[in-house]
Amino acid sequence: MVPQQQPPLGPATDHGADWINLHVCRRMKTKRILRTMSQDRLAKAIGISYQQLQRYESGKSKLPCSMLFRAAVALDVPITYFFDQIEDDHGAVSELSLDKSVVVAVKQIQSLSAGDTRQSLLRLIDDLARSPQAGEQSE
Amino acid sequence: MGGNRDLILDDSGRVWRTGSQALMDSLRIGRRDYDITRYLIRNLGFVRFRTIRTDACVTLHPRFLTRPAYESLIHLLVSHDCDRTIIERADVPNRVEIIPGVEDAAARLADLATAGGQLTRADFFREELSLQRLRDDRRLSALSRVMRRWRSTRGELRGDFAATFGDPALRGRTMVIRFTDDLRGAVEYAGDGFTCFDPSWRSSVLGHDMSEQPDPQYGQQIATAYVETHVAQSPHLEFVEAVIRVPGCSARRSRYERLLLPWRRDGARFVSAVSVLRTSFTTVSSM
Repeated sequence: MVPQQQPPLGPATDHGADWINLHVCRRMKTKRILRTMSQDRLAKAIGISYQQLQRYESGKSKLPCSMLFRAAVALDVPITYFFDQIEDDHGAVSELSLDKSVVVAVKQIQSLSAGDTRQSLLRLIDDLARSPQAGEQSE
Repeated sequence: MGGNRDLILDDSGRVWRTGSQALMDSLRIGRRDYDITRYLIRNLGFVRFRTIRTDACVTLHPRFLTRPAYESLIHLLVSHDCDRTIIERADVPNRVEIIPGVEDAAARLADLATAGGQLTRADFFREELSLQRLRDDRRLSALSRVMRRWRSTRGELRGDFAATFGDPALRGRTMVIRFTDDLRGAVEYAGDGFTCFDPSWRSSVLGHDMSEQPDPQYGQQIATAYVETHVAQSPHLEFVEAVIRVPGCSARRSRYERLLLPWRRDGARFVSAVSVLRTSFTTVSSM
């Protein structure tokens, strides 16, 4: 049986920032706040200073695997928790709310040759999106 | 995640673009001839999350906030690392709360969510903080100055309390407790910055046991730290979050850091507590 191919996640660095590290560190900070735990308490639990924890949480320092493991224990979460939603968060947020039919349509448009048909279609979509009936419904 | 965002969270914590077709499809909403976003927030418990420059704006009906939505919201707040969070409540129109810092915003949102019973939050907790914070955190500079004075005098009180703790930056949030050998503490001095208490409290509390606060439960809980500081004879910095219930007033949830220091004068032993208030809001249950 051929294993199903996963879509590529893209390079680990994006505009100079390691987004995987940033995501993990933000998940750690989120869980710490949800546990109503101060930086001082978590830092003590994983054996570092609160200043070092601040650097991790802000993504200024890379979180070593050993710290990640200790943080998982201290926060009482499986280590996979820190990687949850990683694709959703890193991809454009709009992708979160794209339904399947839209994704299929986009792929079909991309498969058209870059000629008049494709341009006309894109213009039509653009016109429809700008029409008064379309667009956002907000406060 | 650069640029301004306009997202909406459903009760399972799933994030959608506000007004997106995918959201409308999932709700089976075809026509858009009314304010759907407002309807979703007021009636279905959705939470709107917007970023405006460096601020995050959260619109919600607290009673409907679920735990998954709350957790997802906190993740958004952490991810966007905004300077301030502006909370708009659908149940209290025309009123906003502006809160600096993600942790204080998360605490306020959790407190609001207790209205619906989906989240609970302890009425009191305190945690020891590193004294290094006095050096690193500019917000605590007033406490840092008291610490320097304590070090320079080696804990010897000189002059009256008003002079020692008269720094306007302390905003009158000072208490001094005099200890006896049997670990009983009586209030020796109270500053004028404790606005949650009746103004007459400041003079009437002098000489009374340190736990005799207008809210006796709160009084008991904060007294512990005075005793610990007196016994250890060492400085102590801590974070406190407490619900304070004063008869005749709305209950308030306050979050503050406080520095406790042991002092002596003419053979007598004292412990001072100076604090910096982070936030203080009326709790939802008392509204």
